[in-house]
Amino acid sequence: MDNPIVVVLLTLAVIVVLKWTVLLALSKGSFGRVFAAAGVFFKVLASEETAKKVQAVLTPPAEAKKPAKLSGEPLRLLNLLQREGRLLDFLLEDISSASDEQIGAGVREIHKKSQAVLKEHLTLEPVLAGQEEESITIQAGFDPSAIRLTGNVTGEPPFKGTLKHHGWRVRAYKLPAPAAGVDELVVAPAEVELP
Amino acid sequence: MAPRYVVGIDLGTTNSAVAYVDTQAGEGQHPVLLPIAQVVAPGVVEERPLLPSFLYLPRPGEVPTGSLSLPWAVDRDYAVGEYARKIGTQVETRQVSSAKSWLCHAGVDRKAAILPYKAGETDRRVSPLQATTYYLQHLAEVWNARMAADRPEWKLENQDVVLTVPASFDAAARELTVEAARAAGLQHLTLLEEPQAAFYAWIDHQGDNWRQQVKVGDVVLICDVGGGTSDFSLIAISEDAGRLALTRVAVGDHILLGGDNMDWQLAFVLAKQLAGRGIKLDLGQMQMLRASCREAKELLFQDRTLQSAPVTVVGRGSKVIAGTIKGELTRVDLERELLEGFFPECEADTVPRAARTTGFQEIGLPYASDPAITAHLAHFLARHRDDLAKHTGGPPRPTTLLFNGGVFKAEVLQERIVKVLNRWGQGTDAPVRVLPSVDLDLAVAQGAAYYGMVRRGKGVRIRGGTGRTYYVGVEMSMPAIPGGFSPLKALCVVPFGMEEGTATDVPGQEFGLVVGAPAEFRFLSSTVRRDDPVGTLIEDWQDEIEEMTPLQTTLDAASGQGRVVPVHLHSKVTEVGTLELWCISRDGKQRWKLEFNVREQRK
Repeated sequence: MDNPIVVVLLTLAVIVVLKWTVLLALSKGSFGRVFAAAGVFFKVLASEETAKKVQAVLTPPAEAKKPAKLSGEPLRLLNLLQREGRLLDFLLEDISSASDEQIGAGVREIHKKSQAVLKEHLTLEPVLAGQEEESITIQAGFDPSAIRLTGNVTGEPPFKGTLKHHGWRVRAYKLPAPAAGVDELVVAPAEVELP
Repeated sequence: MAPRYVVGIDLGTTNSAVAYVDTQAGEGQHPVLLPIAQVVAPGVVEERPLLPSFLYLPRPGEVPTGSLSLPWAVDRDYAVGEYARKIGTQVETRQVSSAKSWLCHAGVDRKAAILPYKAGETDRRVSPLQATTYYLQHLAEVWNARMAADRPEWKLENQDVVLTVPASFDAAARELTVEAARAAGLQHLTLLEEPQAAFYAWIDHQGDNWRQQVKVGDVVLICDVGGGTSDFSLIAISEDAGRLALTRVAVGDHILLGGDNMDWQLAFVLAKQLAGRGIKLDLGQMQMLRASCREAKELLFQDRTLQSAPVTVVGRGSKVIAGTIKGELTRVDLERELLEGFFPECEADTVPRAARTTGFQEIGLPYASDPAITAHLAHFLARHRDDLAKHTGGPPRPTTLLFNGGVFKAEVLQERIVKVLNRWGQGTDAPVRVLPSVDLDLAVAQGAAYYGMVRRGKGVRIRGGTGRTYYVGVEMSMPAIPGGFSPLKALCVVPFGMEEGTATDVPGQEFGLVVGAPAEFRFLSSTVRRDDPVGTLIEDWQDEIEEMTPLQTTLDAASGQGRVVPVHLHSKVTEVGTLELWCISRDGKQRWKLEFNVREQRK
């Protein structure tokens, strides 16, 4: 055993056995997985593309994104109309069995308050300045989203016709975001009265 | 250098307003209003011309985080203004209202946390003084955010501020108002009586033309009926060195009666009507009914051809239509309840009905027990008959009238006041003249700002001084009578009309103060006795003098060698408009200030 060559060879043999023992232990006894790992090792060294692919597999995927929280912003006007004028309650209510008198009394109130909200928060103006039921001329190059032609539409502008509806356009609105703690998806909070 | 802005603050019982003059914007500026940012709904801050004088004190977790935030205070846990008013009507245990009326209520400890009055034992409460401070603080914050964002020298605390109080506020209530203002950071402060402010607004609006509208011998009655209080004052027009001079010659007593009482009255009438149809309303519905009655009232007063106006309470639950309750306010009901209930055509010698004496009295605000404003007016004028006659040189009645307060937006009510005044003055030649009001809601704030300019020498000043005569009670030693008590005499310490910035010694009477023991003085006042010189001792005054919040001081052990220090009294009306009473030792070397004891009195 004094022969140094024997010592080196034995040491190498022990190392190889230990390495295989460790590799087989890690791969839970599968030689195939050991060879596959070795293959991947060399391929990653050789190829940039494979390296990227393997990197992607190894990196723990980012946590699955939660579905985006609904934005309350489109509900702001509805919120106001409900808060001040109870409009949502009215539209969702089954009024088929209510008497006309009952509806009349309620609607007058809802109408008054809801109108006040619109006047306060929106600046509305007619799209066309003329009086309804009066004649009007529509020049070429009109904006088709602002003016809709109906009836006997033939030929080229200018068109002469009768103004049936003057249209509405929002010139400005103010619907500021409420404080962060306020849930805009709650259009009407539940109310609980304590005795 | 004088501050850039002169600011008028109308700290009202139900609404507050701020107006200001920018003295660097050139000559002849008129007061303009400060828009007041406030929380109007959870998490929503908007500007309004008025700040409703309401405070909402939710417990943690009752409102969404940040919903009471203001641009300058993100972690606010209370609200002042519109939202506090609105939410509070349905949560009375969390809402402070009428703090100003509590501030002048001598029957309670005004520095103790007693409001909201209906709050539970463990709920958040504040004192009337703190609530008032919150309102003023909010106004200061709004000002600083808007007017002094990057110029600290323009902050409200550095401006000249005129703060209005009811003419009927006594010395202790004025002192508390000033204390609240100081706590809110206001430094350069002057008090002004609200009816005077309304008159200043009229002068400002008329310009030099005002001199043509009144003449020597006129006495102007300022009839101010706000949301919660009624306040009367008389201003006499005289001549001084060839120019018209104005003197406030009388102020009325504090009457807790106003527009809110009227709206409630109508709501009760309607509720009774509905009860007849088998409909019972809960608290929230009553609030809606009151708001609807108010609108119906305004509609009927505006359009005199209408015989009735609808009153609607929509359903509280999600079934808004099915739950709708409809009623009708008829003109007959309206006129019976408001005109005959609050403004009856009473006689000139009518005395307001006194409170019914029952075994126990609920502690709360001392609301007027007679709702007839005309009766209170008749009583006020009757008590000042002699002054009226002296100034007009003829019949004892006002010749001219200026209305103030939102209630008088109803012309019918103005007409009724004019009618009773003319009726009381029957046999005299000229009917009472009505001066055009500037703005029934905002005149006081505008007039206060104008007065700030007057103090800088720009315009005519109403003279007046104190609106009451003040006395200190002196108990006479008498031989013991079984079951008897020693009669109280009243020593006049502040004569009527004592001017701001003056002081006087009270001659004649010496008191012995005991070193180390609190000394308490009974304090009395009169709005009627106006000719008592300082130092007079009054023995018999029937109902002309009333007792008020006592005064007290404590002499520390180091004061004086003996056990008893003989002192005399010294009184002073400060530039701010408050009253100070001092005890001065015989050698004049030592003085102790007497403080108002606004704690609840145990008798």
